[in-house]
Amino acid sequence: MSSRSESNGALDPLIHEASRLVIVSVLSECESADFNFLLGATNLTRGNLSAHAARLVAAGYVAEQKQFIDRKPCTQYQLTPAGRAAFRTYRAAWKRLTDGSQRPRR
Amino acid sequence: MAANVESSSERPLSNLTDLQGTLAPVRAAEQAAWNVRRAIDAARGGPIWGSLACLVSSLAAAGILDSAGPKWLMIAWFGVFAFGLLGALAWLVKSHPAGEATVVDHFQANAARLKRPGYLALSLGFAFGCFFLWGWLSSLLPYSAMTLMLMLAILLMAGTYVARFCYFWFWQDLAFALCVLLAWMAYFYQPLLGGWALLALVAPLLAGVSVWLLRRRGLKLLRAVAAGGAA
Repeated sequence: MSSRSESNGALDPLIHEASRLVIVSVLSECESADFNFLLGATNLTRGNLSAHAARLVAAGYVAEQKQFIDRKPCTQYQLTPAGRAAFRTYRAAWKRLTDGSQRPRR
Repeated sequence: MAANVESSSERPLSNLTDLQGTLAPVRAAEQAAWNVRRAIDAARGGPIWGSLACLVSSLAAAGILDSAGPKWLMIAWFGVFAFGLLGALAWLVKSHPAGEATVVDHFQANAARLKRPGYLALSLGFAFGCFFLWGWLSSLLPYSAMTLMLMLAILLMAGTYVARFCYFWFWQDLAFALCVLLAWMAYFYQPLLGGWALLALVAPLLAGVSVWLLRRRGLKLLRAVAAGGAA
């Protein structure tokens, strides 16, 4: 049980949430993406995407840039270096975790 | 309303207590990321790789024309495809998917950085370095060794396209591999093939058409991702 808790601690709780995980995963694949693109790519609702993106922005994992293009508001999101590092760590921890769970314990 | 959104969306994944339950969202996230990666690659990376296949196979075709045809035709042939690669790079820097959503990918950002003098000097330095290294090696090594190295490079390039096909599932990557192999095999076995070696000229044309199709397909895929459809 104690080993599980330790492994648990390695997963960043901010990323280890279904909606935020998909946002960070999609953003990790591009340099930056606007709100509409993220909306389509993640299949989240506008409210959910907005709320979860705000959390990631507050944590410093995602940078948000609001601008007007042709008088229409356009919000651009980009993973910060800290966000990319956190996601790399998360993926490594997740890989360790699943590798360990699939192997029989001795 | 905000509280409702917060409570309904805030579903922490149950870590090790229910690994199967956790796997599904992780896989969904991986799938979404792969969809984006695939669409971006088809729209931006694919044409660059394809143009490279076009250029490399036209290099072989130019070599065949050099010995079997007039020199001006070889120069024109090579120039058209070099111009094509430059055009693809310029398009990459400027490109945005059509539609209301915009996404800037790593390719595009890197290509934009290439415009900065430092990156440009570095890239040109690398290209010229390779050119001079090849010249220096050819004066040092026997002809058979150089041919072997060239064959290995061609096989490596074709292998890269096959690997890309296995990963992204675009038939165009297989076409690029075929074009590179076809043109260079015709170049290597030109004495045996005789006039038939000129058929290698088809390879860059086929690669060019595949680039065009891949670019169109990639833009469609990007629009599909932005619209929430499966890519």
